[in-house]
Amino acid sequence: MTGVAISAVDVHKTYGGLPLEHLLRRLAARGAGSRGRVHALRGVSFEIRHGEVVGIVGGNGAGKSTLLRIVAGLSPPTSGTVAVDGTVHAVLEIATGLLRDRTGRENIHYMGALYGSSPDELQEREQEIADFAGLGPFIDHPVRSYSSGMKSRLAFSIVTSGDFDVLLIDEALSVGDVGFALRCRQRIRELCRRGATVVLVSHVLQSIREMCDRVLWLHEGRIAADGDPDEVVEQYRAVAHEQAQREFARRFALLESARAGSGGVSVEHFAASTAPGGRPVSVFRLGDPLVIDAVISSDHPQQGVRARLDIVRVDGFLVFRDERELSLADGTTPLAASLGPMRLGRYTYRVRLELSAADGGSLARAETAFAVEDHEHAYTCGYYQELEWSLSA
Amino acid sequence: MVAVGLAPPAGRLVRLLRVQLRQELQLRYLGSIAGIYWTVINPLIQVLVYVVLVTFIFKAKLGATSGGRFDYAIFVLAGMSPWLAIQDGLMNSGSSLVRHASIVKNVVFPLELLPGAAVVASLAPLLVSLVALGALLGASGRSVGVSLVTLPLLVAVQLLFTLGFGLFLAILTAFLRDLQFILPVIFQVVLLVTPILYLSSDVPHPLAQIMRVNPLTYIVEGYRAVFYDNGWPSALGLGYSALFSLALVALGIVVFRRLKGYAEALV
Repeated sequence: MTGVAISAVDVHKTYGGLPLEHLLRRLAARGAGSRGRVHALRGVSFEIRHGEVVGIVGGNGAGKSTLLRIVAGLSPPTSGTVAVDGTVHAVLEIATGLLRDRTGRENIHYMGALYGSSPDELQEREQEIADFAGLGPFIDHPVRSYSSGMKSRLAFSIVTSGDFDVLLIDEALSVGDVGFALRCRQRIRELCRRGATVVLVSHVLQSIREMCDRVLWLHEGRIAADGDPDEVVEQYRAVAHEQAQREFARRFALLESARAGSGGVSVEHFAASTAPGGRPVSVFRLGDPLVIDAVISSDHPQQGVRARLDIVRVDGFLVFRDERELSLADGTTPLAASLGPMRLGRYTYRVRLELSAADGGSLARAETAFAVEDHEHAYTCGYYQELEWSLSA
Repeated sequence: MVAVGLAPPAGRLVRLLRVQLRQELQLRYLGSIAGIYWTVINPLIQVLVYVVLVTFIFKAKLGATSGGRFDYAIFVLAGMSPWLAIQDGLMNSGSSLVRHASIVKNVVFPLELLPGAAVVASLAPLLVSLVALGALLGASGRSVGVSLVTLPLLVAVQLLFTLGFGLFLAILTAFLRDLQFILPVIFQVVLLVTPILYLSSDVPHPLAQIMRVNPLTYIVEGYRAVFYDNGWPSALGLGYSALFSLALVALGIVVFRRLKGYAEALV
């Protein structure tokens, strides 16, 4: 049981540079080489032992799916070698392979046979597969009447019920409802007990952490880390956070210039941060303290200035609005609005500060933006919650 | 340690072929009324058009015709039967990888079986043509001699021929979809250089030369020997066709294996 199940040595994969394709495209006068080469994998090596559950994490386009396809034997590596001990079943975009006009039950027999099961075995397992998919009476309806979740459930049931040594799963755990996700996890545990090797790709880091013995982090076609799930996931998350931060800061640099002032009042500095006077932060994690920092300059002391703070979700939904009265000193006045720990969902938000004089005339305006990322709950959307806030000037 | 992509055992191959064949036939013949039309009625109408054109409009006589009413119809249908089946097999094996893209992309599967099943499925239109031919023979009071025993051999060579080109077409269509639309035009040209509508002895010299090297000629003439002339197919000619087809299949498998890994990214 401790032998090597999958071994990959210096695997490279390049797409779109095939000579014949170039030749044919040239013949067809479609502009040869119009599609550039994509270097999806750049020298990946690893060994996975029998019975291990290995997760693969990484951003979009990091090469995760390409790697699974190569291990599955669906796509040859451009260079390097992959060896697998035993039969492989892969749950990729498998739901697309179901026959639309046949019933779920007929599909069990068709797909099952494609995956190498004999008619007798399938007869025997039919009920179990149908039960696991949990389709009820729909199992005897044509697949074209299924929802996409039902199709995925059926396909997952068929593919994972066969006889195999290695199971590859690409994002399949996020299909179906909560109940099915639980059954999937249970099945994977059973398979492990049986000695099967499981490799799964997912963006739901929590499930990767819970299910895997080991995690590979793919970054731009290379293995960036390989080891303990908690450690690798944390490393990946930190770097992904950093990247999102930079990307976001660049995208919203424009807002910095969207400041206006009149009547001798202007906003010198306006940013979201985690502490008063802290470094500007553009991507928050759930629970991070949210502080809106501002420095306002005025050429004379003013009383009764109204400050209005708005937080608007990117789709225009007003999440928060409140007003305070404050007095401005001659020169600069630092302002910090503390809104407590971040409770907003995974979205992008715009923050607006508007200062107006006691008579209602506008004095100054500034905007900034921040995003909230949330790896634990990949699919939560923004929700509104009454934010407690205080203003310290 | 087993390398990825190792061929599965023969028993499993046969089972997979059967599953895929059933799927191929069900899709075409049980799925829709139109499916039956395209593969059965359409080709027969085509034959009817040739027969009417030649016997009633041009009133042409074949060199070997004894003058019976259905003679030319039998002559054409005997040669047309394998040709219709070959066309069907080539069209469907050509499109097989593209049609079954989800298998190519997702299932660890010996892909050669996709064009393979399409080729075997071409026996269905052959059967339909032969039934029509039998009816025509019966109606004209003709009979078929003992040379009918060579029919399985003719069918075998025909299937090899179809498979040979089918493998090439399947993999090339993945690279160049346009092949699917070019193919019918090529079929028209091939019909011209194969003695199906006329005898090779009735055509001008250069065309007859092409017919002589065309391996399809001997398959068509074999069918006609059995169903029209009551004679034996030419052993030499058929042997040439068989060798040609075998070589083509061998080359086709090599090319297919070489390129099939790229199909996943293309279909």
